[in-house]
Amino acid sequence: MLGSALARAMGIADTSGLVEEDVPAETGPMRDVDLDVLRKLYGAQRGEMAEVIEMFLDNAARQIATIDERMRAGDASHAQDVAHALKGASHSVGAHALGEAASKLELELRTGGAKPGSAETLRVKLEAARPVLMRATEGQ
Amino acid sequence: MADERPYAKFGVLVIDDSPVVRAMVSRMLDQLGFGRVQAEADGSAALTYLETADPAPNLIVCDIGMKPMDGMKFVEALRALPALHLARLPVIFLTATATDELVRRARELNANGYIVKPVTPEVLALRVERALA
Repeated sequence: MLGSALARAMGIADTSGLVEEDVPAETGPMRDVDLDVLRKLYGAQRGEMAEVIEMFLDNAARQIATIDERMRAGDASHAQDVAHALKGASHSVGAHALGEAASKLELELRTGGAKPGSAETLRVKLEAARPVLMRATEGQ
Repeated sequence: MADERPYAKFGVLVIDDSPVVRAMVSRMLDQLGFGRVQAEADGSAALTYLETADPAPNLIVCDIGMKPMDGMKFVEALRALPALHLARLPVIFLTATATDELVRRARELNANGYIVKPVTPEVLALRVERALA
């Protein structure tokens, strides 16, 4: 069962198949930006897709600024919460490289290993994803 | 002509603090054919919605990490409601984190599913079908 496989991989005792994660049929490196889910959801309705992508890009930029500001203020707990939220939203739209960077920073903030300036990595990943996401709204 | 979509008469409540995730998950549920899709940003807003929701939703899809009220506290409060048609609503957690502790808590709260983000339409459809079976 899919859920049980995930649970085993994560060390979770999942005897009832509660946990579910989409596991790609093909193995291989995760693409930095994967537009499959957005395309499935919005198809030819580019206007609605553009709204979601613009909302994501605006929110992500604000979240990264907040992470940076909170880290500089020594508030690792708040920065960790925002990194967690950024991770979820990024993976949801298919911006996986940004999601992975947010996930790494979230873990570093939790364990005390985050370095000053880590938010810059998030900015770089966001700016790399931006043109790919924007092109999707133009049907490319 | 009658609507033949299986969930046409069903309502679903989506709870997530990310407007992006709310929009995408709501869209997935709309495409699954739900007649009513309501979205709220945290557990306390969801409880307020449920106080007056008529008809009540048939299913809840809920994030965990939210403020002021997180998903676990929300489902705790939901299960304790005196109105049994609300207290017994099926709940699917949709979260970016799966730890032993969270999954154990979800099981204790009689959750009907625990999906790790990102969710695809196919996985959500599978869990919805199981939760409403």
